[in-house]
Amino acid sequence: MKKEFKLNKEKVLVIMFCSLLLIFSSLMYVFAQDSTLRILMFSSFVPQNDEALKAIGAEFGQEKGVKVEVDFVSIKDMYPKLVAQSDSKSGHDIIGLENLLPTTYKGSLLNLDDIIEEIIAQHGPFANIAKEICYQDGHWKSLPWWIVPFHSTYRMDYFKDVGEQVPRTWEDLLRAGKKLKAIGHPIGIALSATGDSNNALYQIMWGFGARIADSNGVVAINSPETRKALTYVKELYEKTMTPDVLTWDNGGNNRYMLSGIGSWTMNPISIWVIAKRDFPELAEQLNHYGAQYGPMGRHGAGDFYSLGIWDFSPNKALAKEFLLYLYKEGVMNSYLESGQGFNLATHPFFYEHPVFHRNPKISELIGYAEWMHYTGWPAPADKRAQEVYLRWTVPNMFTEVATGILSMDQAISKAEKELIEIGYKPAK
Amino acid sequence: MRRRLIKRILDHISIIPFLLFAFFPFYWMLITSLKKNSELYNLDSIPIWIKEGITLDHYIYLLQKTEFLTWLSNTIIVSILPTIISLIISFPAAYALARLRFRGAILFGMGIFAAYLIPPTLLFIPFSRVISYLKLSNSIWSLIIVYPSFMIPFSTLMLSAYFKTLPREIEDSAMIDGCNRLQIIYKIVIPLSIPGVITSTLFSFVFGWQNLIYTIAFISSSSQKTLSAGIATELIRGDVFYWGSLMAGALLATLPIVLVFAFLMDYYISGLTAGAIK
Amino acid sequence: MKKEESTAYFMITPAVIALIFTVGYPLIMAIYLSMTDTEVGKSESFIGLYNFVQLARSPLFQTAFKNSLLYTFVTIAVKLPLGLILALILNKELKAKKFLRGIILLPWVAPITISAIAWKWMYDSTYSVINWMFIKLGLIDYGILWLGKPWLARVSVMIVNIWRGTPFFAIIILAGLMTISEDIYDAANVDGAGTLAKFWYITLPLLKPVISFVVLFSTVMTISDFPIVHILTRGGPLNSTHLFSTLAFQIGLSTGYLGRGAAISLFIFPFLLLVVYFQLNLMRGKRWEY
Repeated sequence: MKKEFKLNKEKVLVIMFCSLLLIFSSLMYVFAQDSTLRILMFSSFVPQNDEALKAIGAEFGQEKGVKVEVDFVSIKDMYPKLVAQSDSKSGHDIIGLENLLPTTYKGSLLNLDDIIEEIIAQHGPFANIAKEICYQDGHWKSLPWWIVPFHSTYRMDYFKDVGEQVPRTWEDLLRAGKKLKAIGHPIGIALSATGDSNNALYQIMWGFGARIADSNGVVAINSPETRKALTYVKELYEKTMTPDVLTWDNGGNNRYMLSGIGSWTMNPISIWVIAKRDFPELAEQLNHYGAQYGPMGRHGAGDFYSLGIWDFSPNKALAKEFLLYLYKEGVMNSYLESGQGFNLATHPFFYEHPVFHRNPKISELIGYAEWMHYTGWPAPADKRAQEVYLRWTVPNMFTEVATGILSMDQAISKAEKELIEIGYKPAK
Repeated sequence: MRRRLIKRILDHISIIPFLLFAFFPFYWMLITSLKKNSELYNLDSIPIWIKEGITLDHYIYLLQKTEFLTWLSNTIIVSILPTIISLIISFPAAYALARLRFRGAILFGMGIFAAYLIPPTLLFIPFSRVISYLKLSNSIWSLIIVYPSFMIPFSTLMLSAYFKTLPREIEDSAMIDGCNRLQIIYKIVIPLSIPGVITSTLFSFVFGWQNLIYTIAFISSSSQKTLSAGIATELIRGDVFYWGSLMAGALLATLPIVLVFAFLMDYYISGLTAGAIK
Repeated sequence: MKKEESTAYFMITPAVIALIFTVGYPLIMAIYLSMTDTEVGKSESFIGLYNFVQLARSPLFQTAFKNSLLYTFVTIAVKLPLGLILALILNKELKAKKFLRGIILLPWVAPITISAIAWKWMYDSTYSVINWMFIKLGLIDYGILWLGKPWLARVSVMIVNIWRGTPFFAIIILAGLMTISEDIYDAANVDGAGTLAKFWYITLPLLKPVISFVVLFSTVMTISDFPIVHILTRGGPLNSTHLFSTLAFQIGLSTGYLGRGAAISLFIFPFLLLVVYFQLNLMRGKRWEY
């Protein structure tokens, strides 16, 4: 008797639970099946970017008579999300891709050759770096969109105080930096496990002609050029910076500059924008300039953003139309306008957009995409370069030498081993 | 008498370092959330006090410019429902594990625990497949289904350990008197175990409240996000941290649970003193 | 016997069903994943234990391994006594008990991701409030680089873990303390037992199931801890704070080597399984009589 009673109670609960589940899954199924274009993007530093994208989505939706949903996640969260979506073969239709992610996901991204060709026919070719990153295995895998350049930000007043001009070369920087540290306003480049560190150090390496590997994927880090770069950074660290830089995350240099201590750093215009809002006097003194010159030329780095379409998307044609729509002159202009100069174009056609000309502090940076490489260049743009970026191989090497934990030979050899572990071919 | 007084004073003093250590970060969060940005970044300002006047801007930004309240209600739902489901499922399982002899008991115990041995940073990948198969992506229901996976093991094992500390004689004598298991559970075990039930419920609730990785994996729309996910997305943009609002968000996200705990502490205490009486 | 068995099976059925659904398949898939060379966007092949062998040879993984063990061991070695002491204090007759307990619980109750962000700002090289206080108190001349030097960074993340985890220990041990009836202590008092003797011979043994429960859980949770290190240091400086989970995140999720990432996460799975086995035996085996 009692046993049946018990059975019933449990059964009822289990049945209730299962039926709830069933009801909801069928509801979801029903709602998810209409032609909604779903876009997943990084939430931008400039909130207006997000608003603009939503607005563009809404306009497009109205024109085509479909629903467009735009979702935003933080850059960090995007990585696990992309993994989850590509693994379960379901998710959004259009996804935002940072830096070398198109190479990671090239197997799951739709070929975009047709729309890219149309854009090229309309406006001309993209900047080199766009092709380097987005063109994989003979096809365009993502649509280049905008870049956030990693340029220099400096205090005009402090530089004037020590009688220095804008430091266009790395040598200038070293000289000026020594004087600046002497008056209590050191410069700062992150030497830590953070993106900023990668972006800055790769630029220095390239300026001296150093690289992690050559275009055939053969390790090339053990070279006199690398040693020159390491010597330079060691001296830079000792003579012009403070140990603070060892603790920085991407916001560390922002805080350093905003506190009034820092005199020079590498960063996109976010420092200046925040200063304008909260510390107008400091903002007056801030200025920017484009990529630095080294003995081996002018090289810049930054973050590159593109848009891809999952090849398992149920709305492939619609998604392609949206991407094309984005590059319509009026639409792209409105998007760049919303960024207030934060996002730079990857297509020369849009370099001269008025938003970049309104303020000389921004117009300095026009055309940055022309000097920019992806971190890892000239090694092929692939997963290995991505892994080097994420394992902080380059920042670690420079940190070890700058702080004296390892000798130059030890640090280089350690980095070399790591590069080989990651998959680059050993040098003969 | 004096000895007792000294003892009591010592008791109170000895808790002070713990209180300071626990509370100081929250005090600092409070101050930070009320400071103007200009003072926040000013190196000459005092971190633990406000000189230039209190501002509610950060709170206003949080509540107006972000979907904070939506996230709050999502988090509440996503913490309560799975907790209840888990409790209903784990209570009998815990009792069986603690009191009954059956083949495969150890295996069952290990199986329950296995969920914990796989970190969520790995487990979310297979879960993503399941969730997208069920078409529950981007809905808080995905969380409601998945959360029991870590709540059930915890509740079961905690309640089990708790049952083990209850004296067996009461149940044994009731059995001898002719009651069957169900009656024993209903009339004796449940009342005696209320403190344990409340504790494990509270813990499950907190686990649900705090969980972030599954939200990141399954949810993208702001309207379906939980507090931690929403705050991290909206208030950290690129390299800029909206510190004031972040701290405000931290406090507002903690407050509800503290209230819940405070409220239920009463039951906890009274239930225990009643239960200890044999 | 049979009746007891079938009763038991009925009672665990819902749990078993729920767990097969929520854990059975994902668990098996996760284990399978670790034995393949899965990468995102590529088809996989089964490679057995190759990932694990590669990891054992990789210096980066060895570092993360040592870090994880160190991190877990040290934090639990601190959280347990602190939690025990705290529980003993909270068990006494204190004024405003509810209020005190509420405050003590705050670190554990606050969402960890957000409190980790707060700690980041507290450790900041420019703005650290801790440095500010130490300097004002004259303890140091220059700010401490909490997150800049490898050993210092390790200590810093451990402090946050201890700050957050001690309340967990305290509350659970407190629950155990509260079920110990006063009668036993009264009887011991009659026999002339001192405070220390009472603690050692009565309290501790009776707390054993609760303590072993909380240590077991904390071990598992701490060894797979993720947000604190991820937010404070990302595994740096110079990989000195990498744990299993942060390394798995970096290699598995950020780079996309899912198979390797899974292997990292599961590396000590067999060991943990053994620990659980012994714990369960311990817990079930003894019969507790007052």
